[in-house]
Amino acid sequence: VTNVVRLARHPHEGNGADVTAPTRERVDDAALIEQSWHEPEVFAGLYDRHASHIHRYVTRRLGDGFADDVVGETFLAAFQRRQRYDLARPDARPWLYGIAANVIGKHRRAELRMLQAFARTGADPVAQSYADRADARVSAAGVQRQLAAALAGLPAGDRHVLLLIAWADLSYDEVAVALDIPAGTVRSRLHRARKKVREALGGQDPTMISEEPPR
Amino acid sequence: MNDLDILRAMRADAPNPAEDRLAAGRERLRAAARPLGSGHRQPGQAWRGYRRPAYGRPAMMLASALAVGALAAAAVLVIRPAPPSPSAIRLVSAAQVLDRAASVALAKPALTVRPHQWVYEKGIKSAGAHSFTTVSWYRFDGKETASFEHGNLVFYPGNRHDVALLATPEAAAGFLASLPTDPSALLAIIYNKADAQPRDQWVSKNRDARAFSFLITVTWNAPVGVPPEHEAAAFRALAKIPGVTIRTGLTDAAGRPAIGLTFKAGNGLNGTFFLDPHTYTISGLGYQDAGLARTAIAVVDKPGQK
Repeated sequence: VTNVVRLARHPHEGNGADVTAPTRERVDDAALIEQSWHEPEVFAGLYDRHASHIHRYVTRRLGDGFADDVVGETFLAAFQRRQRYDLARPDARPWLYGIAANVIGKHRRAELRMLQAFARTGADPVAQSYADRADARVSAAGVQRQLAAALAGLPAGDRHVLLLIAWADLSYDEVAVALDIPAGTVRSRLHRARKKVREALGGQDPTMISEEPPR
Repeated sequence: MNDLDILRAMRADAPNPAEDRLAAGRERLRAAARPLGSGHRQPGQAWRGYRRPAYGRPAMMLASALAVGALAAAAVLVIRPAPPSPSAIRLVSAAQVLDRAASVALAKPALTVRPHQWVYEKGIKSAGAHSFTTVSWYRFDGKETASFEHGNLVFYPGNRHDVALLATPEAAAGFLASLPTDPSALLAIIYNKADAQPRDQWVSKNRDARAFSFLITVTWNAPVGVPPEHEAAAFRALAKIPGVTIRTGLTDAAGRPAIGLTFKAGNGLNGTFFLDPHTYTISGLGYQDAGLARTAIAVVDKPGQK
């Protein structure tokens, strides 16, 4: 990312000598965001770094049709708020996922409709959106219908916590940053959500799912 | 496997976006960033006039094949002859590999499958770091599918579009059986079919890529019931498509050694079909970080039988 490479000023380098000298050093998100305060186009580097995995997360929650727009809106909102970013946090992923969660929240009813349809019919509209229609029937063979019903039954905040951990691979602390809630709240929401999921899966046939074979 | 693992597996085959899917968002961001030195702009400014760009869905056909694969199943048990001993000759070109596949296909006994018979399939589906075993039964005519849930056999109706899409074993096998056994004549029909697809379903602008994708997908969808000479013709026709290449030393989603059959890079077609290096049957396919391997198959009279 050329924008990143251009960033050369280090705290120890003194008064701006050789500011434009290229460096191969990977600059963290916070430095990139700080630079974008004065050079807005640098923010594109953050997009190049993170848009792809956020796009996949959105696809997983809302389907292929929503992903482009939600990702676009997420990064525009992030761009507008970049001067409020906490520069003490080198990794911007939690911040970006938090903004994405807000944008996804605008489509809450669509998300619920799709989860409920999946639970009811065994055909997952979200999976169909990216994998064509037949994939849903594979899912129907397993436990995912019960899972969809459980997800649809969660309060929105609990669903965010659960899916940020399970699908976005955020840690508890990162989820706390993302959703701007205390870490203790993350734990209690997660506990509650997982309990509901386990209840929903209670009767599943364990032979339908197997561990990954060793490679 | 705990509840979080099961949840992680849900929709785990969601794709990473192709670069063209991200280009529009980057451009919107640049548009928002461009006019200002001050770091402020009219909220929503960059949105105005924005339209989601028209884009093709590269590899839709392959994605579809990936999905269909779990339905359509392959023949390894019962139907397949004992695997020949591994070839001492190192096969280096796609033409050689496919010629070998054709010879193996020709040596197989013909098998007639009746529409109301069922195809039992066991497979391993992987997505990212997760994988599952899938066990399913599909009626040959695609009218019903069945699988065990809570210990009970549960039935689902087939998708009414599957026949037209050649996505049921019967439709795919019937289509292949309707083609000429001369590879060139067969291929001419495949090119016509590939050209007749709606543009928005094209996997590539490249005709050869579309023909390859079409033919291999149909072949994958027809794991049983294809007359041997027609199956052989399909492999020989694949060998005639420019740009079809092999990759050796791969493993499929089940971790088995496999020969990859794919279209040359750079045409938006990233899927790989796997050939079993001993039986030369199509044993699986992979697409980005998702894969599907067929590990067992049989034609049975009733769902639940293996």
